[in-house]
Amino acid sequence: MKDVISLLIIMPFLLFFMFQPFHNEIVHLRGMAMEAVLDRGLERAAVKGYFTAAEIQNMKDTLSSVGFNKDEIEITGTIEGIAARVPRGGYIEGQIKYPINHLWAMPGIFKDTSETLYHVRSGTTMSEYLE
Amino acid sequence: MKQILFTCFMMVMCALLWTWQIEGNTQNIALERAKNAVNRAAHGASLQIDKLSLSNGKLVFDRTQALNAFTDILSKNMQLDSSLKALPDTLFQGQVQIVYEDYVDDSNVVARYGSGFDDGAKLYQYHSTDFNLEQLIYGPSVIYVIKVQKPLQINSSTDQFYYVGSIYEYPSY
Repeated sequence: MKDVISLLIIMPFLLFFMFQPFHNEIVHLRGMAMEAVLDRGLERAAVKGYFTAAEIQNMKDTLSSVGFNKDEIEITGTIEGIAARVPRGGYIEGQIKYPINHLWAMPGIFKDTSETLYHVRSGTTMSEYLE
Repeated sequence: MKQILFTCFMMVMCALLWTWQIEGNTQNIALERAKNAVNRAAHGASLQIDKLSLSNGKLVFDRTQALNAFTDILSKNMQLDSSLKALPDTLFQGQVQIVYEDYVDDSNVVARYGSGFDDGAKLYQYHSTDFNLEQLIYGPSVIYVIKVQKPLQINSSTDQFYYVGSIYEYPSY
């Protein structure tokens, strides 16, 4: 009985140590996916002179296909409707922001900080758009 | 007592594994970001063409402007200052150096390969022994390699570097 009780006490710690590495990996891979999507997006934006609305949608679709929540993805920068087309030689900027909902496995026991942390990936490329 | 000892052992083991994992992930992010930054910078450099030569039908890169564009875009993407030194509290550390810079365009393609880009659709094998660069190119290209310190979290040794290169063709060729 004593063993069972002590096992129950240390069980949360054991589970935490067991699952945290997988959770770290997921957080890391999300960041890598955002990096890759932003890079492809910037390549296409360089041709068009800005991020077109279709391209923004395409980027969100790609991210949501690997488990991102589409409504929480925030893409800012040189975007159609907000900024004018950048002519050749100018800079196009892009930034993707996504909340890291939990930095730690088992957030119910090991509380996260109250402020929301974000994955942020940003990049700048030169426009090759010709009028 | 047995369980406490076991938990302590688990904690030490996991701390070691996490350290190893975070170290690996940081290297992964750094290499990916450095490669993307060099690609974008080389893309910007490849757009800097000499307009006077272009009016004579020759595509020649403006070396000074290309290097300026490369430096500028690289510093924007890797959070560096104007002298290519990493800004404080960012992923990269120390000085980033441009260790290799080369241009293949209408001013030197005949001397290098014996025929120009205008002589029909051809492939040219770009080769450099300095950094073991090997790439098939179709048109005028810029070639850059940078040297950046690995952002090691645990190991304090500062003499480990990434050499990240990019070969970028003039986009509209």
